[in-house]
Amino acid sequence: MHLSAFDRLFWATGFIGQIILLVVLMARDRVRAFPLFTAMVASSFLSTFVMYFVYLYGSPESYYYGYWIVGTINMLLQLGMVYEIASCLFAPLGHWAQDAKSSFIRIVGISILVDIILTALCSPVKSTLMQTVVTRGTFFCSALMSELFVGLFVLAATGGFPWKTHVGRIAQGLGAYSFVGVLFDTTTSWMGWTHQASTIHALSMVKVVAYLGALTYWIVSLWYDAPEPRTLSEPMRAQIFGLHRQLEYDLGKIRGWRKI
Amino acid sequence: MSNLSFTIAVVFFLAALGILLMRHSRRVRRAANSDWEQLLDRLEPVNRSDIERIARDALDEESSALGEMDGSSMFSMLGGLQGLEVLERNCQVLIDLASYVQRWYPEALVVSEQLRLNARELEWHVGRLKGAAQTGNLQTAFADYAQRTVVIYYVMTRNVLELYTRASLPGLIQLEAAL
Repeated sequence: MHLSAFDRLFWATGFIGQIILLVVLMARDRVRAFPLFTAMVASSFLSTFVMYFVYLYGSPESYYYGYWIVGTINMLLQLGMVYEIASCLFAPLGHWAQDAKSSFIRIVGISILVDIILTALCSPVKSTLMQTVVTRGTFFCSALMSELFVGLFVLAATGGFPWKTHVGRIAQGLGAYSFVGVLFDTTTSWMGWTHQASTIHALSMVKVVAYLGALTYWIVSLWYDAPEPRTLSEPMRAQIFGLHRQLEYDLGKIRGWRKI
Repeated sequence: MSNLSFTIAVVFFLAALGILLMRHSRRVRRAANSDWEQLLDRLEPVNRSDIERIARDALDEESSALGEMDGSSMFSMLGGLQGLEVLERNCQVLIDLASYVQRWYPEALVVSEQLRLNARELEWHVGRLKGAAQTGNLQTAFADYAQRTVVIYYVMTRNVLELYTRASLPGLIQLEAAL
């Protein structure tokens, strides 16, 4: 299959961007904090490498199956990443805040339901079943990620959870890229591969640019450290933990009241 | 034709997500960028002595029951549902005050998380009262939920003040005056 110089440039830029992001994650010791995000970047790096050669030297069928295998792995890792982001945001004390857990499960359920309805409505003007499946599949992933990103953000804002620096940046990059994905799939659902292949290709370049933008955003924001916090003195720390116990006691008493 | 309905559905979908993002990002930005004075300015005036009286009525009781004060007197002291909505809005400011401390002293997280949960609980009680107001049962529900709401608010204000006192943070006098 043929690749233009422009296509090769984009492919190579993505590949280099993923290497740089992996190096940043390891050099700045972010792997421990974000293992699933690191796994997703590593998986994207490997798939970019493998799929390039499959595209050049393999058959269209092998590329199609490769695309779906890679896409499925990527989708699962992205879902894992959403869970990782949620765990960082909504478990400030090391365990999930009670009010956030049920809301998060509700958000996931509603998102999947809305996504299924939207995907069922999607009937792209494509010539083959394969192209229809590809459009619907990628739309499903992008729409789900967009919904989950907005859901996490809304939950953090309404629940009063701090939108922490690095977690927030990872979520924002993923959310922005997913939004572009939804726009791309919706626009191209009106186009047929036979007559408008070049337009679809040009639009897919916009999606690639959005991905490169997200990569750059992650590289820069994960390179820098979060603002250095101050530390409490030992007696002050003991006092604050004492205050916490007092709070728990007061609230336990209030919750135990009943009207007689 | 069905592709048109899909496109319209996606436009609505993206618009809904966009509106949600904009609405909530305003709140996140406000909480993150507010300085001390701006936070205090957001606190709405409440009748502190009435709040204390209602809270003390319950807190001073030794038994496991709520205090002696009846729903109608609490209703007039608090200014009805509107009065409780003021407490609800002030609660958000209390969370932001706790987050403000946490920005500088992350180890105070355990207290600010507890305050966040208190505020959620208070929101829940006010939500129940709003629901009761819509069904015309506000007077009955008021006795059940209003005192708990006031006590949670009172405990929160005391604890935010204590947090600031113990951490020897600046601005305590202004905070005491505002609360």
